[in-house]
Amino acid sequence: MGSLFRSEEMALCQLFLQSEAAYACVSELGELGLVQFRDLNPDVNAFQRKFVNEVRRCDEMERKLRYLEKEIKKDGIPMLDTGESPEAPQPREMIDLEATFEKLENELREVNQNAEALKRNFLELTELKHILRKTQVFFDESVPTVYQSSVPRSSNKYRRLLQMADNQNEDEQAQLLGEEAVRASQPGQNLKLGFVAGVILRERLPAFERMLWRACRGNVFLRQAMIETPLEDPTNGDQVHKSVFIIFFQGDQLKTRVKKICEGFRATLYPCPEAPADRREMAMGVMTRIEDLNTVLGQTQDHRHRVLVAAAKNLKNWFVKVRKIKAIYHTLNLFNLDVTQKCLIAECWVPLLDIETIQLALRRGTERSGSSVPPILNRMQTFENPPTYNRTNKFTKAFQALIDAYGVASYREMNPAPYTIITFPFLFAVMFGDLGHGAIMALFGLWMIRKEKGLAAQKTDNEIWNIFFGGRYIIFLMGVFSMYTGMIYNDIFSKSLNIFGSHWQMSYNKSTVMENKYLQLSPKEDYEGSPYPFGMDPIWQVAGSNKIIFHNAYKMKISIIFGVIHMVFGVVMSWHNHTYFRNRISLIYEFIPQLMFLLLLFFYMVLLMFIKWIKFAATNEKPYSEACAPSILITFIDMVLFNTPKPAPSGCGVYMFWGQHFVQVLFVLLALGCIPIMLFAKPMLIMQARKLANEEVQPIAGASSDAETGGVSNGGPHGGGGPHEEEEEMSEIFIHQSIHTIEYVLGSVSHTASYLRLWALSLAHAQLAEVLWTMVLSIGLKQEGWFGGVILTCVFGFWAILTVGILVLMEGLSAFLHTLRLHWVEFQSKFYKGQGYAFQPFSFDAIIENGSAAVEE
Amino acid sequence: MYGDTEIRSHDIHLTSFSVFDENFLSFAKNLRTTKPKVGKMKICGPKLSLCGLIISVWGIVQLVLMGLFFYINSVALIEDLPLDEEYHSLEDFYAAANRAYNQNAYNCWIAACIYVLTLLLSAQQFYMNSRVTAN
Repeated sequence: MGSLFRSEEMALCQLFLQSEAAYACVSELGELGLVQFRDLNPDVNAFQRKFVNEVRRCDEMERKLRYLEKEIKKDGIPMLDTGESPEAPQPREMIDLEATFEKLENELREVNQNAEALKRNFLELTELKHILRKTQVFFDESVPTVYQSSVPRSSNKYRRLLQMADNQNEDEQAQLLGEEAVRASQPGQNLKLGFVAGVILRERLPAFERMLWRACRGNVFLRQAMIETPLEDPTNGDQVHKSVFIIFFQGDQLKTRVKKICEGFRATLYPCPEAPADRREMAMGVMTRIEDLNTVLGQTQDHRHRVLVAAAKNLKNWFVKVRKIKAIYHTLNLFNLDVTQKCLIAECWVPLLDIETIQLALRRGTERSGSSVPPILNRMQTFENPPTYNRTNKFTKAFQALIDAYGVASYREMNPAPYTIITFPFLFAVMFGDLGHGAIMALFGLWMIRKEKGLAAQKTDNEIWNIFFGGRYIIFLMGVFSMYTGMIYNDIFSKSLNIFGSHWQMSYNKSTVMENKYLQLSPKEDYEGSPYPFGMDPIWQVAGSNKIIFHNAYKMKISIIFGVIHMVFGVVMSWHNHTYFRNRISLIYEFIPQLMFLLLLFFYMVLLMFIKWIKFAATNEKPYSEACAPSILITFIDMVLFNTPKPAPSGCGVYMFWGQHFVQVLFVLLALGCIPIMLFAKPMLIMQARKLANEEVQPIAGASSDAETGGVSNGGPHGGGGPHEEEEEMSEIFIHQSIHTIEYVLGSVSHTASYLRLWALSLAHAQLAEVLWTMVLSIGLKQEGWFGGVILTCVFGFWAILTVGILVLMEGLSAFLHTLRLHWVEFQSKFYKGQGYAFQPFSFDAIIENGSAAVEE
Repeated sequence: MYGDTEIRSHDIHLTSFSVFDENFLSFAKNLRTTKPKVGKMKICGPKLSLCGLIISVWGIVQLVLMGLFFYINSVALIEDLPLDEEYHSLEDFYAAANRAYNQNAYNCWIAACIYVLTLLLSAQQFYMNSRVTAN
């Protein structure tokens, strides 16, 4: 298998496929997912390619499937997703599939149309039912007012009598018109009142009423009543509120006018019989018809449901099949057609190690298609840059993704991912050191890892969850490392654990303790002499006034130590790159001065820290006692600026060891001397080499010499880098080199300082945790009496939520981002170009995954 | 899955009032086939009950341990005791500190017991929710 340290070796291959075997072979390669095809007809547009018809048919099938899916989702039928991936069907199966989908779609469309028609019918009938019911009320309710004056006592009886009478129609008009009608009818004039009944959307009613009043000059009489239950609009399924209205008018002209207005307001008019008996009869009819319609609708719904349930069983499977067919034809479109039309030619990038597997797959494909001529895969020579392919598994994938987010590695460049697996969680943990918070994070990561399969199966489009789940191994490692650093810092939710017993003790007597507000423990007398076995001594937890000072000194130093080691490691990585690409000039005139510069200045500072830690102690005699310990930072500044150090306090030495001044001056001079080498050596040498080459070529003319020089330059020590560099202008090389050098020299200063963020974030995290404890949880703990337990319960819940929300999530995110920066900028800038392009193999898995994601969006 | 069943139960509720709804038949069929078991005492949803579960477990573990540390008079926790600023004699201080340590230890354990109750409650809710979802 390929190694993690560099990307896979790739080869450009030419593939000759028998045209009848091409489909099966490409299908096999798609299952394998190890081949990246190149487009051989980039200037042919998409509509002129060979298999455009097939691709179009696949598109059509996909559209039908999407329609089915939409309908299934609308009905809330669960879709069977077994997660298995059926093989790409044979081309002849495509016709069957097409026929099936066609049939299903037509059936569904028909059912939907029927259902819509039935629903419309149902709506009309329901509206009619309401009209009949409400109009009855309109006709009835005006009776008492008419007859109240004349026959107040027996009005009800009289009305019933009237209704039973033959001329009901005229009665109603009489009721409506009241006394005026009676008066008007006396002269024998036949006063006929017409009316229209209908249904209108409730929100249109006020405008409708006003319009009627104005257009008919107040000569119509409108009554309306609300329909309480909302009705369903058959076209879009919305619930709408409507009102029943009835308009009385006199004469034909008014009638046409009223009808026009109704039309304008989209009111539906229904024929309403004038006689109550007819109305009752009609109502009965409507009711029975509604009943019938309900049964029919139910049956339609049932039928639709059955069709959809049957389709839901196979839908995912069909989707996979269609997408595979489409992908195959799409790939075949990239191929070149042989002159004889018998053969398809493809060009593809292939990992060298997998050529065997690919050939096996091709053979399988040929067998399946029944073709007798085997496909031919032969390697081609090329000067093109191959794609970068890093083989990953589920563990390394997330780390590789972090690296690729910065830039895909150049071909065969050192891959920082394997080192990131350890350095990333570690640098994170330095900033996030807390046993409790680390444990929460680790448990979360562990849970995701344990439930990996189940969680991966239920795909969601929740982006944040997907990020967390993708980085589950990173989260777990970050949590575990944070637990470790938490133990080193002796912090658990900002409290310390005293496991081994503090190695400090009090030697003050009772009266001193009673009388003094602040007491200091002397490291000379009160310290046992041997350190606490693991991590910080818990005594610092109760040292209220100088705990932070002590922690700062410690954390700042370890940040710089880790930083310098990390950067030196990065520079060493560039050595691997130079040796691999046979870049001798860069190795000698770039790598060595760079390393010298870093070691002589910054690694020397790290050494000074260790010397200070080892040499100076409170128990030592005067020149090396604790009071004489010099400040590393001041020493370093004096060293770089060639300052004479300030005189030390009496009895102490200015320097830590013999000859320090000389060593420092020497180191600074050497480091400064490295800068011009970095700046000029490489471009000068290139210039010289070019001059030499020109002088050699010019005197000799002829074909033989050309061939000779060509051979030399190809087989020269530069390898891949050589020919590329010679295309550059000399001035450009100088500018490039000076930019690189300035970046490196200034970078090592600023990058070293940049690692101080390890200290700063760790300090911030510890302080925030402490503030949360004293401001929130302490309130619960300081309650006196038994009721305190109840208060503590509430306060603890609040504290727990804040701990997860602020300290684990937000602080974790910020520490993560800072770690990412330290890797991308401070570490990778030392060796990593990241100018490659990723290997994107033709793989069904990726295509189907992307396809379903695209649909869900 | 969860939302699905909830909508369905809701709809059944609606349809019982309007029998003439055109979806009635299909819902009636659903009623027959799925038998949604809506818990008798379903108070919180799946997320809240899960959150309650986690906080309860965390609370029990941490508060029992903290109670233990208070009980053995851990110096690291002295700042969290309800003590006065000044005491006149060492004995006074020791007596007050011991009393406060014991009191805090019991308070922590009381809180832990309350969290046992919330654990049981949220576990029952979680079980209810998962049963509804499983159907």
